[in-house]
Amino acid sequence: MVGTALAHRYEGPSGAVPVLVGATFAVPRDGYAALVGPSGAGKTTLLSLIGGLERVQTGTLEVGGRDVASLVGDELAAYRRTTVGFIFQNFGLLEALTASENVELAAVLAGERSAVRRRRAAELLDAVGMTPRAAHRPGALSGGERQRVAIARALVNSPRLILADEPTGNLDADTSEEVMQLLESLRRDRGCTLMVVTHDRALAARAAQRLVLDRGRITSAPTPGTGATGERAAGP
Amino acid sequence: MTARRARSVVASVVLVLVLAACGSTATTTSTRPAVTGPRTTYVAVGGSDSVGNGTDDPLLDAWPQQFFRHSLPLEAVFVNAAVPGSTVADAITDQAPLASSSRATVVTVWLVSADLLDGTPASTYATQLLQLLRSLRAQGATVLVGNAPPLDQLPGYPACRDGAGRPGRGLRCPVALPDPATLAATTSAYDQAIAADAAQTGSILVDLQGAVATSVAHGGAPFLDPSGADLSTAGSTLVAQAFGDAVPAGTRHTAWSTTTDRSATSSVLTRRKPAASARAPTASAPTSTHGNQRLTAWWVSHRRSSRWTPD
Amino acid sequence: MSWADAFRLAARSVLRRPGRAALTVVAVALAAALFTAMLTMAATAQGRVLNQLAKGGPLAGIQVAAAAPDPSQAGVDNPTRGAAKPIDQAAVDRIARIPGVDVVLPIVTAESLVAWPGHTATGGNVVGPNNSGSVVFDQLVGVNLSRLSDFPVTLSAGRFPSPGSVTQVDVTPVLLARYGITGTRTRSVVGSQIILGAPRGFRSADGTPVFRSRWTKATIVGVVTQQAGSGGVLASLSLVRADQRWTAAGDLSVDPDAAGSPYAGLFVIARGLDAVPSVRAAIEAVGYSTSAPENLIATVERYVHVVEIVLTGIGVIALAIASLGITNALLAAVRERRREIGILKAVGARDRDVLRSFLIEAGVMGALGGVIGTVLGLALARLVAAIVDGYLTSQGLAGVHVSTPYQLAVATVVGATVLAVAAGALPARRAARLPAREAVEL
Repeated sequence: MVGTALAHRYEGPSGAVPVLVGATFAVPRDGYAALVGPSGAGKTTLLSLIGGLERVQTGTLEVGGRDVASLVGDELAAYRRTTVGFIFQNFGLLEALTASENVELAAVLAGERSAVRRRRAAELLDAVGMTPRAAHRPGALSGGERQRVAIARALVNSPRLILADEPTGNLDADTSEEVMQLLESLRRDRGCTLMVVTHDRALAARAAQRLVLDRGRITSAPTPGTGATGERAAGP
Repeated sequence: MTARRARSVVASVVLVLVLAACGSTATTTSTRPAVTGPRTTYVAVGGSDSVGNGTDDPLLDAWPQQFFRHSLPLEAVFVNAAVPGSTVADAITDQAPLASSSRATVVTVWLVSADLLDGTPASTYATQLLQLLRSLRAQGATVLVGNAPPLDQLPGYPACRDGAGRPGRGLRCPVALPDPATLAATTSAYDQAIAADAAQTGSILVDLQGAVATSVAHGGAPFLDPSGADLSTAGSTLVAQAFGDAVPAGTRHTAWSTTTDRSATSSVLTRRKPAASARAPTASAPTSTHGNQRLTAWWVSHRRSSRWTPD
Repeated sequence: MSWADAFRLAARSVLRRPGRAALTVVAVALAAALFTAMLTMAATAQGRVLNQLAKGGPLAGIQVAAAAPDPSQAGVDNPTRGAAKPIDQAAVDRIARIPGVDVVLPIVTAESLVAWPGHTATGGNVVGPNNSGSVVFDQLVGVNLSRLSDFPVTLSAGRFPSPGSVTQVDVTPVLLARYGITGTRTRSVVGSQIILGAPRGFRSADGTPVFRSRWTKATIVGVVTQQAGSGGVLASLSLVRADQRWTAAGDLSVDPDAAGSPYAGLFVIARGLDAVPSVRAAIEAVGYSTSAPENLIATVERYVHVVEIVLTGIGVIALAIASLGITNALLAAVRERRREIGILKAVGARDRDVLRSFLIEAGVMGALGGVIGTVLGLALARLVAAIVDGYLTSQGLAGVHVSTPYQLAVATVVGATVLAVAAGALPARRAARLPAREAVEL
């Protein structure tokens, strides 16, 4: 994905507030990037733009060769559904559905047949080690378990891009390590691009590429060496 | 909730409410089969003692009416052809044709008083009665013929004997009433003729002589009204019962009803008829002003003013 | 997302807050019950009133009298009649051929003595001294007993005579009143035996007129609510025709009225209320006077229609108010579920998926409330009808009959559902417009 001069502002009570002022970046296919920066730097906003949760106001954004900035309405929804897998800091599970149903949700929205999506959800829950808890509702799961389910849901439609917004922000250290290892292994096994928003330096160091967002702009710095996961940053 | 479940809920509620709402006053008892086919048609041939003069309610208490109500089937039809003062000869011309045109299947004949008081000779009486019975039997009807009660219980005789004259109800007293012995002999000859004619024609003899004598011997209610000219209500009941007991089993109604005008079966005159009317019979005035003449007058005056209207 | 998945998702969302959902459904149910009960009771009352006007017979029934019509009374429900005019079989056949006539039912009458041993009648037409006695003069009315449901006659006790029976009759309250039997005591006469006597004129050998009666016995098997015209005894055609023949065979010099009209009247049923005016006009053109409560029925139906409109309006208002509860509940749900809606959008839900989900939630609550309310309303209407029916029959009057208004029930459920979906439109649109970023906003 390639973002060029992305700018974004929010309408506040006292007028427009600029959040991004010309962010430019490039993450290679199958890459692993960490987006870091101080609080309020616009990390979540940039992630939202990349994930299609917000429409691009200024600049260009290409993901997998598609011009995301030009997508609207159902096209944008389809992009979110099939190209992106989003993992939220607060897990983002629907309390009314079981773990299995939450994982199936994206497939339901994609119109998959029930037998197919049920099988796919079972495979993913198995991959994240949540098969015994498939029938439980989020209220009965721990934070780590919920994040595992969220990861499974993000992968159900085989997206090309996984976006994780502070995936370990609400987890303890041990659980965070488990979740990150899981995320990274799944990324490797399924071959997709991963971008993680984090304020954790150690977590950021695991990525092959580090994008620093400061005052609305990005400075990209390759991780020293190969990164914690042993991956080398490739070219854009 | 599925539609099916909703329907079953509705049906259950409806059923409960329908059951709760049940309580219609109209019953739904099974209907008796309609009566069709040949009906018992009863024609009474007689004189003034057959139209109820002397009873409390002639239309209901006349002995043929009681006989019809209590001894014949529910579907029976009844025509009272009796003419007050009719002799046997009169009946042949006046009443027998009606029995024939009505296709009567049961006919009662009780014609004694008028002939006796008119002085008809026994031989003539026998001949005329035979002719009458033959004409009635010719159409296949069951004919029951009553004989004469004891003389002093013969309707009309006590009235003529005691000088009641002609009470205006068809009773014709002879200018010179024969002595009782002569009349008794004539009565006995009548009874022999009745028995013989009945046997000859296959008619059924109804022994009123014996029935009335038995009742009198047991001290029952008066057989005649106080004037002696007509049957009393109790007397009518006795006669009706006597005729009823003579009806062949196949034609007879199985039991007398429980109406108040029915006395005891074995001894009619031992039980008084409960007073259904406040009118007390008097010796000089007739107990009832009804009879065919009164009814006729009533019909003529009333029915012209009536015509059925839908509302 | 398929409709089935949308329903499942909506159902899960509703059941997440069962208390709020139950309250919303109850509100709709109460409104639907009110709507259904009011209209069912209105329909029942209408049926009772019209039944009363038609005296228990079909609404499109026309009574034809053996009389000529009065030209000045055209179009009047119960016109005065002209001169008497016999109805013979030829006239019956002509009337039966009139377009718009469904069936012609003959009515024959016969004058008769009615003797009731053990009972005393008083008043006019009593054959007795001082107008007191057991025998009264009345009329037998003979109809086709197998078509009694087509006649304006209803039972208040017992049953109708068996078709063709010559020994079973029904009597009317008017006849019983002559014997001093009124109110609920009329039921006690069922099973009693009466004697009927048809008159016939004779002329004796000496020229004097004589009337003799043809007597028959009959069992009272029922009591009818309405007077059978001016007759007090309802019987079969067979019974009455036999008496008619007996009377008509009499000596006309003694009884000139003996040979009357073969039919005392007719009851004609038209093919629907709309056909009544034209059929009446055609019968009057044949030469007979007719009567039918067409104008009265039309007036009553107009007024009842107004009542129905008012009641419908009240019911719709109640449903609309209940629907506002759905709007309120869903708006609160949208506020509470902003993040959830954002997550849905984030995982790929389109605006219309969210819209559909909320509309289904609204529709499900409306349909559920509509079904429950319809059942409650029908039960309430039947309960009220049962109470009223019990009271009326205890007074010797015809009761009420509640039919199951299937169309109304379906309309209520559909209406409640539609109103609920309409009420859910605003919150559903609001939910659909929420941006996906709600998923990430704190």
